Amino acid sequence: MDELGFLIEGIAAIKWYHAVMWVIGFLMIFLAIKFKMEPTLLLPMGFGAILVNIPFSGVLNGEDGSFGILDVLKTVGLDTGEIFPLILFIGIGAMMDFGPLLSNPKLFFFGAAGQIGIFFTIVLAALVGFGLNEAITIGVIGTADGPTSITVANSLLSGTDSAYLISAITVCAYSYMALVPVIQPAVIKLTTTKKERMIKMEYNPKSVSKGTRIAFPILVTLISGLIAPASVALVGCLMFGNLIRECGVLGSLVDTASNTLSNLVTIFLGITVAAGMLGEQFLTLNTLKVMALGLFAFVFDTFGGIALAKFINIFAKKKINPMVGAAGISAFPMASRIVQKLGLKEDPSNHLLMHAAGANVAGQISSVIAGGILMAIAGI
Amino acid sequence: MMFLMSAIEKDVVMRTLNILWQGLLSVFLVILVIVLLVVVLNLISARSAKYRQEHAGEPTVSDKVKEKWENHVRVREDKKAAKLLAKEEKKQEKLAQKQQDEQNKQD
Repeated sequence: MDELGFLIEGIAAIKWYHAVMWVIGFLMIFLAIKFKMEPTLLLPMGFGAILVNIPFSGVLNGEDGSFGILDVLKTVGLDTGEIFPLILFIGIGAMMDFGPLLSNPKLFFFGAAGQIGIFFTIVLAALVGFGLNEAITIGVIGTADGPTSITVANSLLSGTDSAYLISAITVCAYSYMALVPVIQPAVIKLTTTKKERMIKMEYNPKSVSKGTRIAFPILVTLISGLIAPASVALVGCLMFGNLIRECGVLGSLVDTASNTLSNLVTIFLGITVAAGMLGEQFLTLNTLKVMALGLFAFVFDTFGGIALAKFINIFAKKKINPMVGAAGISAFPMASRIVQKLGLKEDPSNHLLMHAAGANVAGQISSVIAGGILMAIAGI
Repeated sequence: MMFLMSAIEKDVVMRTLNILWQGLLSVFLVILVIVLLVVVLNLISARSAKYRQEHAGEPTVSDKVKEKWENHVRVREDKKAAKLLAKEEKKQEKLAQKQQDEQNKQD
């Protein structure tokens, strides 16, 4: 029977943290399938968490020098120049219609207000004992933007003693993005009154010329690139995707970028992010702290937009529904859909989608700018 | 909470407080610049739309440039054709002269 001992080698090597990570993986898959919570991310991440926590897993690099697919994908797609998130940004840019935002540019300020949580979280992270760069990367979870979180975390922590936090930050960023439908309605209901949620907003879109649509991505790249050169990769990829959409002569490229390319990268990104979910490194007190701080950042981002809308309402004749401010985070298009859903719940004739979509797109642009500014402040 | 911290942690917290105001101000400033830019772009496109509406039927600047260019091309081609014609005439003259000379020689 000793000759068959290899059959139980894997079973004998199971540790408690493997089992816990399997449960977390199953939970992610359950949430993705049962509640359709960002299934494109949660399902690959959940399955990846199970894959990497099988003892002697062949998806990770072996001690004998053999290569594992997830480690190779992680090196190529995340550690080396953050290729996956940046390519994904091209797809996101190709999907985005800046029209509602360009026709109502004041919505941009909700995008800026939706980044408030990042900066308060940085202070809080320092207060609970994290170093400066660690605190910055934890705060960036509040961008509600996976690619930006990965890029900033890799830029600031890669090759340092704190590199172990990159995985926790990445997983946290994507998990909370998936949990936006749970987090945001709770924050909105806690911080707004029923009367405020029922405020109706007229939608009179002004036509935006093709010239404006084409000039916008080029000029935004120039402005943010000149102010925060570190953000050029992020802003540039997002705006390049949008430029091929708006130029009107690259239909087949837009189709590929917004569908095939995005889907392809999302499949790899989700499962690659999970490569960092090794139980023995992941299940630590610091991961719990990162999770708690990430939640704080998300909550305060949502609150930031709501607070700005309430502040504007003190002076404005035409009142703004504070829920539109809550959509000023980067989680696109989830945040705007949530606002539309909540608006319809309070008043079935209250359609806020287009306003919320404008604020949501502003949140996407602002989050990338915030990430670039933080890298510039950190001296990258 | 601050009195419980070591000097290093205090320094980190103070620096994060700097990042708080610097970062927030920078994000709002960049967004303000972008908003101003969008407003200017919208103004330009609104004005050009208005101009086009007011001057509907009249030739636009690009029409004028196109016409000028076509004229220029036409003139250039006419000159070229005239040159070619002159060259051809000279050639014919030379040929006739040659034939005449040969005829005279034979005579």
